[in-house]
Amino acid sequence: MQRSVLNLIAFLFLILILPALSIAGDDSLTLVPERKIKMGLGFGGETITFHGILSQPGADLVVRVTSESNPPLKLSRKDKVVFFWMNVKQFEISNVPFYYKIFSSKKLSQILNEDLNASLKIGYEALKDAVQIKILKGTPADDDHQVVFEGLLKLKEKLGLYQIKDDFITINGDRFSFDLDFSDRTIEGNYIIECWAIKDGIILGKTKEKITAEKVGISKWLTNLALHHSVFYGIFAVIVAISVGLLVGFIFKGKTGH
Amino acid sequence: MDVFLPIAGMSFNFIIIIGIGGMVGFLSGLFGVGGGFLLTPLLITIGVPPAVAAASDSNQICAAATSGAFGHWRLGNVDMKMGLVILIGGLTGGTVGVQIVKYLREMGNFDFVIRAVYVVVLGGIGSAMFFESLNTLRKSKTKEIPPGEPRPPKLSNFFARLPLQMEFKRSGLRTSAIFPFSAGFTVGFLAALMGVGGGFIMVPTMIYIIGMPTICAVGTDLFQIVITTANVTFMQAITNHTVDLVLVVLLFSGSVIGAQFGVRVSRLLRGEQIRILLSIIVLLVMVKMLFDLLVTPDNLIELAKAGGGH
Repeated sequence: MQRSVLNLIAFLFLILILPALSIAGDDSLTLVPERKIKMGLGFGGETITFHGILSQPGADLVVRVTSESNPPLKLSRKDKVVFFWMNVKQFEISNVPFYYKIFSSKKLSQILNEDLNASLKIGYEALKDAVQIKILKGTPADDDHQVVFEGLLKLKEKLGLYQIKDDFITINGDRFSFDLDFSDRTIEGNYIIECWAIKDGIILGKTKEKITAEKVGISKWLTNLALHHSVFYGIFAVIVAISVGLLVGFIFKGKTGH
Repeated sequence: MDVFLPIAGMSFNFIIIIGIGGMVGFLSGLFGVGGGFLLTPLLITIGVPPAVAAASDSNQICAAATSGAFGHWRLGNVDMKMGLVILIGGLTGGTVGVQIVKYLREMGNFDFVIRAVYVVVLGGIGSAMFFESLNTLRKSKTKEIPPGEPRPPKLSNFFARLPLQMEFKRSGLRTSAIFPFSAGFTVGFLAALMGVGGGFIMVPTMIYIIGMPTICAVGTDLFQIVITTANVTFMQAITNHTVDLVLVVLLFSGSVIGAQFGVRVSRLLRGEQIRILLSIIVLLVMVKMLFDLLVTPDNLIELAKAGGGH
């Protein structure tokens, strides 16, 4: 219901306000303004439909969505030792986004020529070149970079955090739209949406928007308590457990007798 | 309907979580085990991070065990004196075990060590309990021996001659306090290493080594689990910040009710019947652990895990 209302507001904004902005300014490309993803107890992931205006007829679109905060992560690599699969190496991966999605209105290879590819650095190959993989435990091997990067992509795609989709953006006249999924594995922080209008290997327009994900309500309260008042949280958790256990034991008193 | 778990940072259909809690709570009431050996792997299987699964598991077991212990206490199945001696041993063993865990984690590959220890311990205990119970069931059918409790273990005769003798009236035993303390220490140590409450080890230990009646072992074990898991919950909350109260409340909802039904069913079954059921479950978990070690994983790369928690 809430999402429908927001979509309706976004749609009205698109119809009434954006064309005026688009004509008045130099922007050839416009997206709806930033909004928030509220991660309350009912949050199970969210799909946001973005609408935009494309003033250049015949241009194609490329969208890149990345997380603003990208802390390094640790990954383990398994290998077979005798009969058993064991973690034999550990790596620290840095310079890699937590969230990474690329959408386009055609096949990427048909939109981006070599020069554009080199300057925009879009796609998994660009990520692979940028990622830094440092071995923490185990013996380094030649295929570490390849195996770890491929494993990372598999892991992230499974969690709904990485995605590359061609022919995904719908262009209808001077309007375009696309759906952006934020899975339940989304973390709090800002997500940057960059959009390029490209024709014949030339960038005709670009725009950048920000969307913020944050915990709200009980979800936010519990997280703050657990992280910043952990002694109170620990005592609270134990008291809740014992109280509920005793209460239920007492309620069942009459039914568990001899 | 999805519910977001704020500490785990993911959402699940709440019926799945309540269902898992109910199933594990039932087993907790029936067998007197905390259910950690089953609940932690189940939560990990559905995608909960291992550190959150282990910590939240402790908290929900605390509630389920409180409910179960209260039921058993009312039925006169809790040997408080025995429980306290075991508890002191368990807390000491647990403290030593946590240090060993820390050392093993620094050495790396703790995940493999956990699974390997699971396979060996569960395999050993499950097989021994299964064959003993099967034997007792067969003999009781042919009326060779009266059905019920296993024969008093030979080890208990040895401990009966050691110093620090104590009378455990509820269990009908007179033995050295060193005995239950040592059992508690061993179980506490293994519990810390394996990231579980330890009931699945403690109940067979109390029955087969200390020589307690099955139903009394179940009630007493639940009592010591309440204290142990309360301690672990608090430590996890202040050290690792991995107790997810939303997850815990959902697991509660199923498990505390399940535990009460488990207590009722335990009164309908004979000792050897309870033991054979528990042994089958223990062996199934062991097979799952062994399977995980032998089968080629989908992805050779995984997020580095935090390891066991209790």
